[in-house]
Amino acid sequence: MNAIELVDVWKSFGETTAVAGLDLLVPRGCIFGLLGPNGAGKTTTIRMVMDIIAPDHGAIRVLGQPNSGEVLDRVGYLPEERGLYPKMKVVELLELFGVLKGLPRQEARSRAGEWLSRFGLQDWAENKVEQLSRGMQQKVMFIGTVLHQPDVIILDEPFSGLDPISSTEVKEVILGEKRRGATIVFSTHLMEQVEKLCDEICLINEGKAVLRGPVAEVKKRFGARNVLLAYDGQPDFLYDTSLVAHYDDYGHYVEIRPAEGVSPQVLLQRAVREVEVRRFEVKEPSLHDIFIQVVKGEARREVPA
Amino acid sequence: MSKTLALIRKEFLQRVRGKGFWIGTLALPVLLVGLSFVPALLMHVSAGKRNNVVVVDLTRRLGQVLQADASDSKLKIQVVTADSAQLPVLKNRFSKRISRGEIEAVLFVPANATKPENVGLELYAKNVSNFELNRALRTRVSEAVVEVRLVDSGFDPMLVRQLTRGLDLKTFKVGKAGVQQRSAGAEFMIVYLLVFSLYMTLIFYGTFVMRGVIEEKSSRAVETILSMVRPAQLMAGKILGIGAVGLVQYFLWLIMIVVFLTLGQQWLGSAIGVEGFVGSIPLGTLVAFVVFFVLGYLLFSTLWAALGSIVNSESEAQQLQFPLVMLLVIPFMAMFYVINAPNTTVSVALSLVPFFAPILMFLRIAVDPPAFWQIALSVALLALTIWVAILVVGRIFRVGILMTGKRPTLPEILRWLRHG
Repeated sequence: MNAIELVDVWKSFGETTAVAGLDLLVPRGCIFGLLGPNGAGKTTTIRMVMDIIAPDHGAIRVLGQPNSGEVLDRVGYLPEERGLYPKMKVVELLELFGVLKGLPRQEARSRAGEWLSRFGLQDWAENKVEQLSRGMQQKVMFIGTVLHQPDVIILDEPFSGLDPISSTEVKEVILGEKRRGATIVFSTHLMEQVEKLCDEICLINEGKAVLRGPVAEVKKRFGARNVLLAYDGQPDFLYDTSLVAHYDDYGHYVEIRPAEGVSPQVLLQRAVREVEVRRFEVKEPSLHDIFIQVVKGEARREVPA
Repeated sequence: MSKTLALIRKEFLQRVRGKGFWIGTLALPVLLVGLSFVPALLMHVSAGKRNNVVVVDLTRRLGQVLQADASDSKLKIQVVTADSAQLPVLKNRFSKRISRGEIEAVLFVPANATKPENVGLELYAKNVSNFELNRALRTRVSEAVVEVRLVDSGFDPMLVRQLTRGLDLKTFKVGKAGVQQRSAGAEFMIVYLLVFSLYMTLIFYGTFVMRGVIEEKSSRAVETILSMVRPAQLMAGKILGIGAVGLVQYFLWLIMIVVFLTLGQQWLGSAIGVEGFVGSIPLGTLVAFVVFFVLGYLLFSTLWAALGSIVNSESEAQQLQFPLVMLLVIPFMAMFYVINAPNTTVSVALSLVPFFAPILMFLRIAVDPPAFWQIALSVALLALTIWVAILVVGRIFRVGILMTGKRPTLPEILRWLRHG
């Protein structure tokens, strides 16, 4: 069973088409990155998943069920536009969020206390939200998202506006929630975070999926994965065209582009037999490069399956 | 359902804990009670200071009769017996005392007053247009003169007292429920106050709901909340939560008014009283008040919620809420016609219009209860309108609440209605 499934989903606002026939599949238990430039339709897609706006066409399933009513109580959502009721006390606000997600009031209250302590905010529980700094409010929002131990957590740009320390704290929580068994979907355009955190990604542009799959696979598929080799000896395998498509030899250092379908593992095995390997590195293209390459070249490129 | 309850609880507590709620709860009755009872209080205070009046009695016979009746709360009469020869001196002396403010007025009763002749009394005072004083004084002196005349004609003084005792006037209202004692002024005041409260609170709480929706939008909390509850639940939570605040506020006002009137009765005697005001509101009117407040609130707060959802700020809402306010101003204005002619075709028709019914049908019930089918029809029409309004507004609300920036145009709103 998948955490989230979208089949041929369309949504337009007046003349603008925000989402155009999007298919999306988020397996359970992974950290999934929803990527795309500004205006690609990320937020619209997430809002449709949360049943905040209705799609014009298409089917959306969450945890195997149509995305309405009780199944959405098992989802936690942190919108990009983060606002809290400024006049409410922190602990009461969290209690309200918990109850609105189906927790008993007492349970919501005690969990809110635990989470506040975890973020070092226990002394602020009885303060009004408006008395907190922006950073603290962000953390309170975050607590509100995970308080009810959701099976799926959707975070829209979770790192925007966070200082490095808070970013690390949030990252820790994301990893902790993954260990608990939750599926985490986050949208972002910060590629660095995606490379480090995500298991799978889907890149959308102009409302369509243009690239998807496990991060390693995406990288493999895109951009030549060059191999750097520092060696002593006679590397005869360089002349084997079934292994090497192109090389650039400097005598003790060579950059190799493997032939189609040849993994760096195979190259390394041959290299070890023929030369003394001092350094071996697979240089992967960064997601950042792929992102730019795909978005800019979108018109010319086939959507990979 | 439990989510809606949680939202109602939040709206309710947030407002009841606020300072604004208590200021409003205290200020309004103080204002209303003040406005309606200040005249009574003033009358009581000025009545406490009895007017000093000198009666110069040339008949030499009124002294005993006039002073015997000391129960008069308005006048303190000093009788001076004199001859007509002393008149110029007395006129001079009392004129001076009036100028100095020692006495309010001096009344000269001519010597032939006790004879059955048509004679005139002469009143000297600083303020000769004090009708209250003039009438009281004339009545007292006339009664005394009549008494003397009757005794002169051979009647027994005691018998004369008994026979000339005046009669009190009580007014009775004939209604469906039977005949009830009611005072004409109080009747109008009660109806007016009730209708005015309806009118004020419908506008007040409607605006309250609208402001709540605008706050929700501007705090940007709305997207988080909408990921937890349906727009209909959010709207219901707002409307019912604030409605509950309204009912609590009414209940507090009722308690305060009863307490005030009870205390007022003790302090001021019969000048005002619980029976006079609260006691004379028939149960049917009270039930109708609650029913039409609740229905009217549901209708108008729903409309105001829609308005709140399509604007970005309160100043933007100011311009747009004019038509809504008019829906309440029109029946309030029509009240002055309907109260005098509650059963004409125009009155019946107006009171059946769902938007006017909360005020006008209630008014008709309070003044002269119409046929039951008319009440039932107006309640049914009102309920139907509320149902349609909730459906329509729910669609506007659902889209509008997430909109920021440009205010939607009317064609856009109509499109939401079709596709929402």
